Amino acid sequence: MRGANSRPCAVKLRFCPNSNDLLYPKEDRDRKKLIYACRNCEYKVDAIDHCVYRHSIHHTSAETTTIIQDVRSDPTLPRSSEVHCPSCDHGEAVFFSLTTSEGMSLFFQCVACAGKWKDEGSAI
Amino acid sequence: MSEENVAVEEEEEIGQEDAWTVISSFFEEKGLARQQLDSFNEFIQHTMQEIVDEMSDFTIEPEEQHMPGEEADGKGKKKYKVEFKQIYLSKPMVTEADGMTSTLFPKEARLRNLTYSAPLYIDMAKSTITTTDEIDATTGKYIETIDTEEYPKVFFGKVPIMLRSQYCSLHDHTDKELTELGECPYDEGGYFIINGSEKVLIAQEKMSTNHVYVFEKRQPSKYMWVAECRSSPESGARAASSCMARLCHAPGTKDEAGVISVTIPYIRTEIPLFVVFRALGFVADKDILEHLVYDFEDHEMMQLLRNSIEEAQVIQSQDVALDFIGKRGSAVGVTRPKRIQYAREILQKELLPHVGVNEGCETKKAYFLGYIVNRLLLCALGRKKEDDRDHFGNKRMDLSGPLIAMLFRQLFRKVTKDVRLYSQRCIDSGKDIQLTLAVKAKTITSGLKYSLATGNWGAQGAQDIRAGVSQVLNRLSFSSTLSHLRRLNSPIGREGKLAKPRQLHNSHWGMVCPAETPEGQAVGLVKNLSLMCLVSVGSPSAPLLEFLEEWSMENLEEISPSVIVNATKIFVNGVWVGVHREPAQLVQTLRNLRRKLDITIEVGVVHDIALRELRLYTDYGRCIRPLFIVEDNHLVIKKKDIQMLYEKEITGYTWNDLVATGCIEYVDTEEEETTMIAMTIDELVGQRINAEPGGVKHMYTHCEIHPSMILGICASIIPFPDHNQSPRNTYQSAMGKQAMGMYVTNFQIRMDTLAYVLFYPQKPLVTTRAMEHLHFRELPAGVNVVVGIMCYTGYNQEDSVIMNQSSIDRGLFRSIFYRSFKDEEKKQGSLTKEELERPSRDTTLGMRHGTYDKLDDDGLICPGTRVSGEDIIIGKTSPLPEDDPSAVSKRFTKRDCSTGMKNSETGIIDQVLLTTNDQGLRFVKIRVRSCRTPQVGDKFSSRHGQKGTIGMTYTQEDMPFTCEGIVPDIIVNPHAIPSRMTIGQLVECLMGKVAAMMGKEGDATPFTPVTVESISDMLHMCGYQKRGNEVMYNGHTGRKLEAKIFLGPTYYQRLKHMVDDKIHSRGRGPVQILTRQPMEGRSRDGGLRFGEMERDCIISHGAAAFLKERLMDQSDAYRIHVCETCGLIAVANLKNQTFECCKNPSERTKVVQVMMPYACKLLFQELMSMAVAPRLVT
Repeated sequence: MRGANSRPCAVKLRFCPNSNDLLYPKEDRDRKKLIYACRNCEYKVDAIDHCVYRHSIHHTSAETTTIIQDVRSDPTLPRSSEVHCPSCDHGEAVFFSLTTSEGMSLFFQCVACAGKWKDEGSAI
Repeated sequence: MSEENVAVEEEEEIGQEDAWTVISSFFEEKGLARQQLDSFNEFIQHTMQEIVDEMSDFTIEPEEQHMPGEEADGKGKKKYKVEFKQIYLSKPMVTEADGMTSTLFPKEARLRNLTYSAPLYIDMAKSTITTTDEIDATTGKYIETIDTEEYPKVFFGKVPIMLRSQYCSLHDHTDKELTELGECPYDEGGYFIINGSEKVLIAQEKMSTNHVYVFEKRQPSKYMWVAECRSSPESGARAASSCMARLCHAPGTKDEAGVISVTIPYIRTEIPLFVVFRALGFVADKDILEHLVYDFEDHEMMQLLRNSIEEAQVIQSQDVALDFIGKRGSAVGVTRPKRIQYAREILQKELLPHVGVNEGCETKKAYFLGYIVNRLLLCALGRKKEDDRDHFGNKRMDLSGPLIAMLFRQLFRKVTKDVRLYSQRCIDSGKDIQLTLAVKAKTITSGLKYSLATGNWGAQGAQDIRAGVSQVLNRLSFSSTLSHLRRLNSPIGREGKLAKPRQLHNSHWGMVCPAETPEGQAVGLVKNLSLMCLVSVGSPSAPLLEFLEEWSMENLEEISPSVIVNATKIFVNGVWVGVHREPAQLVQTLRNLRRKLDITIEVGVVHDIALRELRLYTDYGRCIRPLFIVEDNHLVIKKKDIQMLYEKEITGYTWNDLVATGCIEYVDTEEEETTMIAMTIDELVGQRINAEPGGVKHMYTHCEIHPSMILGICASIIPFPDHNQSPRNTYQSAMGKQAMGMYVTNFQIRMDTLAYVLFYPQKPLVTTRAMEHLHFRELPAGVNVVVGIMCYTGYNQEDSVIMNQSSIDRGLFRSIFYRSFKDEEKKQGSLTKEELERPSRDTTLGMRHGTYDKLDDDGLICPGTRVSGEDIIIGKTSPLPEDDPSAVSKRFTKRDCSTGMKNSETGIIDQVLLTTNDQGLRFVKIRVRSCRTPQVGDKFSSRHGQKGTIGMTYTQEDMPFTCEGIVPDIIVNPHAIPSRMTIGQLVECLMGKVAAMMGKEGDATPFTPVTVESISDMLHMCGYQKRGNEVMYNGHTGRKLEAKIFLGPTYYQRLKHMVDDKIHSRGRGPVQILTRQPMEGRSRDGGLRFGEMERDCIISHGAAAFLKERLMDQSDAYRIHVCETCGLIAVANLKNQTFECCKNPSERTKVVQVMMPYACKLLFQELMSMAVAPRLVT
C-alpha cells in the first residue's frame, strides 16, 4: 500500500477525468474486482490498490509538514556553525526544535544548499 | 581587513549614550500625545471629506400627483439632485449671544465654559433635471436639461477641535507665545474642551477585522474547531459581518472529524461547505478541493474533507445550491427564481464583504473561503496551534480620530436624511428647495457635543452606546495628565472571570506598559501606552496594490490553483490579493521602499515563512514603535547621524530625517514577530566579535533603541524599577497619579473644580532618563527628604511614619488646595431670569442658615474673605411667579438659589471671575484656597509603592541625629521593607546620598549597567559608610543608638488624601426623608454605617439589647398604634386619647402601642397599598 508517496497516513482521493468529480469505490460483481466509479457520469476505472478506507487512531503530523518550508531566510532562527551539512559539507546551518515521536529533536537546514537533516545527521 | 580599517569602523558605531540623543529627538518631534494628535489630524484632513464623499448626493422626484384629465408621461418631468461637495473647516471660533464671532483660544473656553470648536462649511449644489419634449435622435430618449445652482460654503455645524492639533489656535506657537496666551508650554494637548471641561477620548481596544482566527472548542460543544473571520470593508462604512467555518464532530464519536459547515450572514442555518462553493459557481469536487487543499498530495487533509464532499453529493448545480441557501434565508414564501436571486445577493453583498461587494468577486471569495477552511484543517490536523485571542497583533486601537469619525458618519447620514425629507416636502408642495434652510447645523454641533460631554458614544437613543469613552482629563499631577492621554481601554465586561485578557502578554513588549494598570475590577483591562509607542492612522491600500502589481505579483483571478502550493500567498489588510513565487525578494523590496518612504512608513510587512504568507497592513489602529535598523549585524545609524542631530540648529536634522534615511523604522506588533531584535547595541557588537566557530549566531534585523522605553509615563518616574518586586511598580504607578506637585504652569489662571499644588516642589536627586521628556524636572511632584529607616518610639508602626515637625514648620510638604464654585443666571422661560444679588430676608423665600453677610451687593464675595462652614459665596435669586400659591405670603417675591461652601471646608476666597457664557448670560466662577500643612494622618509615599500616614511629628530636638548633625525628615519602619522587596528604594536612597554629596543628579534608569557596588564605592569615596549606614544618637536621651541606621535622601510624594478632608463624627443629625434612617456620607453630616458584618459580630456576642439599640433606637424607631381585633394600624388621636379601628360601634376597640423601625412601618403601608393586609397579632 505504501506507494512512492512518502506520506502513508491516508488514502489518495481520485477524480473523474470527465466531470472532475470524486470517484467512489464500487464492486464490479461480474469481474469480481474493485473499481472506482463516478456518480455523475458513466466513468469507471479499475482500482490500483485495494485500500479503500484507512483509519489511523494516532498521528504525529507536525514534523512532516512544518519543516518542508525553506527557513533559511528566517532571521528569528538561530544559526549554528558547529555542524556540517551532510550533503555539501557547508559549515553553517539554521536550526530549530520540534516535538517529535522521539521527544524533542533539532532540525537543521544548510545555509548554502538548503539541505535538511535531523539531530544526528539523519536526512529527511 | 587591516586593523586600521576595523578601528575606523568601530568608531562609526554609535554607543548607548548616542541612543539617548536619538530618543530625545523622538520626543522633541513627537511629544507624548502624538497618537491622539495624529489620529485627530487624520480625521480632519482626510476622513471627514471621505465620509462626505461616501454619501455625497441624492436625487428626488416629485411624488406622482393624480391630475384628472391629464395623462402621465415622461414629458416635462423634473428631477432634483442635491450634492454635498468640498468641506471647509475654520479655526476655532466663538459666537457671542449678540452674533459677534471671534477666534477662540483654549484659555477663554476653559474659563467661560465654552466649547472649543470650529465651524464647518460645505459646498452644496442643487441641480434641476428637466425632461424636455424633444427626443434625442441617437438614444431615442427625451433630452434632459440640467440646471445647476451652487451653494458655496453652507454652515454645516461645529466640530470640537483637539488642542494642539493642526486646526487648533495654538498650533505652531512658540513657548513664549503660549505663555502669553495663558497656556502651559509643557501641556501636550490631545484633549478637547467641551463646555469648559477638558475631555480625553480613551483609546478603545478591539479585535482586528478581516483576520482569520481558528479556535478549538471544548467538549460540550458540537464542534471540534471553528474558524472565524469578521469582515468589514476598508472604508469602514458598515458593521463587520462575520463568516464562520466549523468542523463538527462525526456523529456518535468524540474526537473524529465530521463535516464542515459555514455560517453566512442573514442565513438562519449553517450551510454545508461544498454547497457554498457550488453556490459560488464551483461545481465539480476537484475544482472545489483545489481551493481548499492547495497540495493534492496532502492526502491526510483530503481525507478530512471526504465527509463534506459526500454530504453535498445531492446538490450538483449552482442553482440548486443557491436555492438551498435561499430557502434558509429570511424571505419566506417566495418563488424559486426570487430565492435564487436573494441567495446570490447575500453571497455577493454580505458574505466576506472585505473581499468585494461587486459582481465578479466570486472567484476571490471562493479562494478566501477556501483559505479559511484550509486554516481550519491545518489546525484540525495538528500542524498549527490554535490562534491566540490575546495576541496584541490581533488588536486594533480606536483612537479619537476613528471614534469621532464613527459619530460624524452617523450624524452626517442624519443630516442628509433630513435634507432629503425637507426637499421632498418642498417639491411635493410645489415650492423651491432652499438648501441653506434644509441643512440643520445643530444636528452635528449638538450630536458631537453630546457624546464628548457625556462619554456615551453613539447617537442619542442608539442601541450600541458605549459609556466612558470620553472622560474628564485628570489634572492632579502633570504625569497623571500625560498618562490619562495615553490610556487604553478594553471594552470587556469587568465582571468577566476570565483571567486571560487581563494578563500581560509577550506581545505587549514595547507597546503597553508592563507596570501601569489599575488594581481591582479593571486590572489588565485598562492599559497605558509605552513611551515610544505610536498608533497607525491608516492609509489607503491602493498604492500598495499598485506596487505589488509592478513587482510581479500574480493576481488571484489569473492563476491556476495548482501554483499556490509552491508560492507565497499575499494578503493586504486581510484580503487575499495574489501569490508570489519569490517572497524573500519581494519582502526586501517592500521594506526598502518603506525605508525610503516610497510607501507610508506605517505599513506593516509580515512575512510568515512557516505559513507561506505575506501579510501587509495599511489599516488604522495598529500599535507601532521605532527600532534601529540592523544590516549584517551593523546598525545603519552611524556616529555622523548623531553628530548631525547634535548640530540640529545648523543641519536641521531631526528624528524624521533618521526615519527617512532608513536608520530607524516603525514596526508593528505582528511584524515584530518576524524580526530578530537585539536588546542592546553591545549585544550586536558581541555578536560580531565573538563570531568564533561553534557558537550559536543570530542574524539581527533590528535593535532596541533602549529597553527602558517599554515603560509607560507613570512607571518611568520610578527609579530602579528593575530592582523592585513587580507589583510595587504597579502600586507606584497608581500612586503617582495622586501625588501633589505642579500640575500645569498656568494653574494661577485656571479655575479647576479641584486642584492641589505643592509649595516647594523639588526635582528628584535620583532621576531616570525618561523624566527629561516627561518634564518631571520642570513640573515635579514631590520633595527630596532625608529618610531614616529605623524603629523609633514606636509611632511608625504598620505603615505610619514619623515626620520632623521642625521641617514641617519650615514649609516641608506644605500644599495649597483650590476648590472652584460656579453659577450662572439661568433663563426661566423667555421673560424671567435669575439674578445675582445679595438676597434679603424680607423678600426671599427659602434662605439658608449660613451667613449672607460676606456677600457684596452684587451677590459676589470679595477676594481675600475668609470663609468657612456653610457661608454663602454666591448670592442668587430666582423670581417667584406672581400668582404662585406656594408663596407663603405676599411679601416673598423671590426664591433663594445661592451657592454655599462645603460645610466641612474652610478657606480664603482666592479669585472671583465674572463673565458671560455663550448665551450671553452672566456667569461666575469663584475659587477658594486653603493651605494644608502636614499633620498626623496625612498620607505620603516614596516612589516604590511604599505609602504611609504620619503617625507622629517630633520637633528636631526629639529626632535622632548623626555625628554631622543630620536629622531625618521622615522615619519609616524597617518592617516595611523585607516582605515588599522594594530594593529600588534602598538603592535610590544610596544613590541619593551620593548625588547630594557630589552635587549631581543620580541616574536610576532601569536596564543600565549601574550596580549597587559602584554606587557604594562612590559613597565610600565621599567619606561615608559604603552601604549608607550611619551611627545615630537618640534625640530624647542623647544616647548612641545600638544599631547603625540606613539614612539618606529619598524622593517622597505627598498624596491627596488628607485627614482634614476625611475627619467625621456625628451624634444626632439629618435623616433621610423616606426611611427616616440617618443620612450617608460625610458631606451630608451622615452617620456611620452599622453593616451586616458588624451585625453578625454582635449576634455572635449574644448582645441582643445592644443590637436592638443600634439597629432601631439609634436609627429609625417609630411608634404606631395597632388594633387588637384586626391587627392593622389604628387611627390614634393622642391629644384626645381616642383610638379608632374596626368600625363596629358595639365592640370597644382595644388598641395597643407598638415600637418598630420606621422602615418596617413603611413596608406595612406599601403592602396595604397593594391590597395585602399585614396583621400584627399582639
